[in-house]
Amino acid sequence: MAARPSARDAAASLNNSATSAGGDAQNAANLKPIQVKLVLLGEAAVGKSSLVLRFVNNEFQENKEPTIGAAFLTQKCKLDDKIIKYEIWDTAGQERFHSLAPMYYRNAQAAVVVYDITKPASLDKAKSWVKELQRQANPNIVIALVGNKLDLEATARGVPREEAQAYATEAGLLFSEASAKTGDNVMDVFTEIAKKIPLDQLLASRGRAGGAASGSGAAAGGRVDLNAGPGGRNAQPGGCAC
Amino acid sequence: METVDGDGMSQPPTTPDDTGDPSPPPRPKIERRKTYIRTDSAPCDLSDPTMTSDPASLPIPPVETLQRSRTPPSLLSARPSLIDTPDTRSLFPSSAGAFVGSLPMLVKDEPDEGFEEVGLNDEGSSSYSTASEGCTVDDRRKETGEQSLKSDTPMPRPPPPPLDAPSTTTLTPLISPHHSFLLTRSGPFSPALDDGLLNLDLKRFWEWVLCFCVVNFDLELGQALECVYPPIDFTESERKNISFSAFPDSNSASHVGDSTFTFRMRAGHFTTELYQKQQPPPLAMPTALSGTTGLHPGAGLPVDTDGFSYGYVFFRQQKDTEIRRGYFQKSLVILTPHPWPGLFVHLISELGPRYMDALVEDRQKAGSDLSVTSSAAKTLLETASFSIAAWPSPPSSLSPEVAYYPISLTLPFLGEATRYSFPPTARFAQLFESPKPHTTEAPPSPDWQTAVICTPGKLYELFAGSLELLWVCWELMVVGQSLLVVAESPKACSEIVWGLVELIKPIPFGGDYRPYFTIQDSDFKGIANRQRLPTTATVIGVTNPVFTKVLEHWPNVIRAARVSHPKMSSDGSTQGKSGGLTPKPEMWSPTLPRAQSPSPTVGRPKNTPNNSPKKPSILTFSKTPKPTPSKDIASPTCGVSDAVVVESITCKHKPYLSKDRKLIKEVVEAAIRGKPVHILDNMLRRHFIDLTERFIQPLNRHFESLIVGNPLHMTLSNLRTRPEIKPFKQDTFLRTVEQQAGSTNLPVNCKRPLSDLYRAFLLSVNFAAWLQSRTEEVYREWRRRYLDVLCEEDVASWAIERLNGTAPNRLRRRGSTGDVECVDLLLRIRDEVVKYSPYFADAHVPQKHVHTAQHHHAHMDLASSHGGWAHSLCAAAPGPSSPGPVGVMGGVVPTREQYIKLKRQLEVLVGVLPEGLRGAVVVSGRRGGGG
Repeated sequence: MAARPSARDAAASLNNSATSAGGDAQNAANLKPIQVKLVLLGEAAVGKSSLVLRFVNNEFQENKEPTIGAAFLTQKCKLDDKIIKYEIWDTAGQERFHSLAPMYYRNAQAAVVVYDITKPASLDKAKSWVKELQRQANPNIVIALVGNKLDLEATARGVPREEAQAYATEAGLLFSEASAKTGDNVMDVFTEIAKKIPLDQLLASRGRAGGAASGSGAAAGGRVDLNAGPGGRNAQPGGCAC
Repeated sequence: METVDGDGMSQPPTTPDDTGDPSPPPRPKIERRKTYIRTDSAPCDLSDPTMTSDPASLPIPPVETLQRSRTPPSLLSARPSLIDTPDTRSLFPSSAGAFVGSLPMLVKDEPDEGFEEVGLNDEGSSSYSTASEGCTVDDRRKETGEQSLKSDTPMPRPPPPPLDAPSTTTLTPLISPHHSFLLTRSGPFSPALDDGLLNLDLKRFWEWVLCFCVVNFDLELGQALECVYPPIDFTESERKNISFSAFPDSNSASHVGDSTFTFRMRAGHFTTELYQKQQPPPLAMPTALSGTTGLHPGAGLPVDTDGFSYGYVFFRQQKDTEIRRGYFQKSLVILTPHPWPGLFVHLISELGPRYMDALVEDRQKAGSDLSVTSSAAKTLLETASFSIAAWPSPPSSLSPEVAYYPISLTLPFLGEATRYSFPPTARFAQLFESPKPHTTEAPPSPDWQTAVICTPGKLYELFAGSLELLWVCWELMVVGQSLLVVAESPKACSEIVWGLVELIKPIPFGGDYRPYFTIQDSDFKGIANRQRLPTTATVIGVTNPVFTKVLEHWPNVIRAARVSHPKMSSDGSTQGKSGGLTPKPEMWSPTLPRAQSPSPTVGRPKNTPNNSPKKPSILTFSKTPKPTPSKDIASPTCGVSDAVVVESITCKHKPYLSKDRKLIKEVVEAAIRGKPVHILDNMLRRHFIDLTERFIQPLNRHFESLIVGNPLHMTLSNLRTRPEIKPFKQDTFLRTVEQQAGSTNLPVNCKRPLSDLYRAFLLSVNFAAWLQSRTEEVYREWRRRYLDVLCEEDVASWAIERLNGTAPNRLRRRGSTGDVECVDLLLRIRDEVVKYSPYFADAHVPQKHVHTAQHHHAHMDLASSHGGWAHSLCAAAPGPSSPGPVGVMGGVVPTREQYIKLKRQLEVLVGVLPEGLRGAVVVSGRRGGGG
């Protein structure tokens, strides 16, 4: 659960600085990573941390330990000509941590609300998270509803895909079923989010603050290329298996 | 110039903890016409192993003092010597190391073992700091003897101390009466909470923070330490210090609302064990829990400490009808070994309000049902702890990586990832704009974020109305005078004290400082002695008016005042040029009557020490507060200043240097133009960094001339763990200064001979502290080079040359010298491997590398097949249970990579050695281990 993005970041930004130095102004603006705060919410044991781990490290741990409080991870991604740096806050699902959630979704641009396709009750919890987000979070927040554990579909599905899909459409959410274990659709979730976030707006607002933005540049090792995205089955994040 | 108690040389002066002595030797009283106070703490025996945390490493170059061997204060007493008095101890006899009901449930099974362990460990482990101790060696021994005596006798399990027994009226249901330390297992959520504590990586957590403390103001009991998370075995005096330091101690009515401030207190035995002696703390953790701490026997935390704990407090006082007297008064404290107010005040001001809200929320949920534990508040602390335990290790001088620039780390905490900038060394002066963020751990976040400065120098904010006082303060601090800082609030006095310490960096302040000091502090008797000044330079921040009476004899008093309304400066020079800009009056919250702080007058009779007729004229420097610019940019550090500024200084100091009026003018003009506060802070800070650096430049030059040799010349044949540093002869140095008089290098003019200022500095604790930190730096440099040579050089070729007698020139005789040299190298590497094995228990030598080394020499095939030899060699060494403490001197811990390389080198070397020799080494190693 420990988030130690430093080493990777260091490498990435080292690579970047060289590139960005050469780029013209327009390029440089685009290549500046756009920071996106993303929060994961959902009932305990639906696989939030596993989804993140698959996305960030492309790995999967059977019987992962429960998250306490929240974990923080970062992942840089490339979408078209933009670099996105996901700042991921992976929260604990237990009810007792519920009261802490606002500080994680405050100012978040994106939320991934996860449920377990084998547990109908977890969808109910997901719905209540969605409701809370829509009521209290940043009004422009992009919410993705994700049914995890798709690998158990054949044997233990408890929530029909159509039901969840219908709910998501009605509530205006991105929707996907995924498996952290196999990696199915995991990348897609983050790609779709990236596409839906008003990146240009974010970039513009950051641009003012970050006059002195240090090295940031073209795709480097340790970064996911979301362009490989939707088709990218089994989540083979380009070169980010670190 | 100064006269000290004449006897001098042999008998160390008594330290304040010898209060048993009815007639303490006369302290130097306030001298007349003198501009400094002698700070003669006792010389310490440098060779005394108890004095140092790294016995092997301490030959600091002797100092030849000016005229007496006992002055200046010895290096090791550079830091303060204020010790809780015997009466404190007798009041709380169990404080020497008993378990005060910590972890009741968890410990229950094995409480007595814990006791014994403490008793046994107690040898030499007085709860005072080691290297920062100011008491004499003899005192220490007495101290130690006393303590071990005490601990040898079976200690009754102490009854729950009154302080922590909360009354039932306590509003927070956090604790059950006798389990005040314990957050766990007290309610329906307990299983999960236990998991929380069990899963917390305590070792990583402790690297940053010792614990969180919640202090409640209980109607029956007063300040009561309600909960400590994670549970810590505090001594009674620590509990008391924390409790009282966490609350304002006067004028409580003026503190309605939230407030953050800091305090500094002498570390107790737990903290000392953990951080300074680098040993696992004597907290009797159940097996399950200790298993998760990651603390192996002997594995310490490579954390810089000065023997003090720093408390960062969030205090809330608000009306609350649910409580009997209608007030909610509670504090949350982060206790840590790190003097980084920028970081921790930021954290506590994030966490504190949320925690208090959560408590109230919990109460509302629970209603009157106290059996329902407060979940939200507990969960919050737990979450905060987990965030901290997930951080990378804090920057440390014990790390072999050298940093010359601020170190930048991005630390996620409660939903925000904030970038912090850490000073590379304790005496590094940080500016608000880090010039070129040079990072070792993590680069600044690509979309650039202003870093929170961990040791901010908010010089403008603190001296906005009285900029010219900065130069007097600088002189007083540099020459190590004791200073009393009187303010209305703990926040104001603590910020000013920090500001004073920052002011003279890169000179390390060698004295004692207490940003917020209360009359209940266990060091009160030592510091606030009516008869004499503290034995070492002491800077304390106080709010209680009692101090101005008790410390009447202190010559230097700084007063802070809340500015109630902006007044134009009397000289008008600042306003005249400003043009249309008018200051915003609303910035100064007109809250307190000015009567609280005496109006700036010259020679206030009321507060001046008038017990000494021989006193010179009292100078009061003061200035009507000037308007500050609008604070449109919130200070990136400790939150927003309450517009409490230094108002006046009463002292009898005759300045050596003149002020830089041009700079004052520039700053004031910049302020009027509305420049952000941190820019103004930096303008001043740059000047004082420059001033200080130029001031110590001759000292640096002299010191560098004392170092013999160059670590870069070190090779395998010429290994030296430490440099040779010749004695610092003060008179030689002063002669140089006097010779160069007239050609001053300082950015300001001198009013008096500069050599006098140097002389005063040499007599101060700061000189000792400076010399010590310089020495440490040189030691570390050599130590780094030493590790480098051991790790990187081709030991195989080197050893074969020695063994075959093909070594150049001087090593012709095969068998004798060559063998000895090889064995010496082998033992050196082995010692490193063994010493640091607890740190890297999981570091294995990849076999592959051993093989890659093989192709150099035919001999090398032994390496792989005789890996077992290296193992038995290590096993024969003195066990890893006694790796020795990691002191600051030469205490550079190898990196994981270096450690793996060392192990590899060991294998390689063993492979090269003839079998007979190897066996001999193992045997001799074993013998060495026995002895």
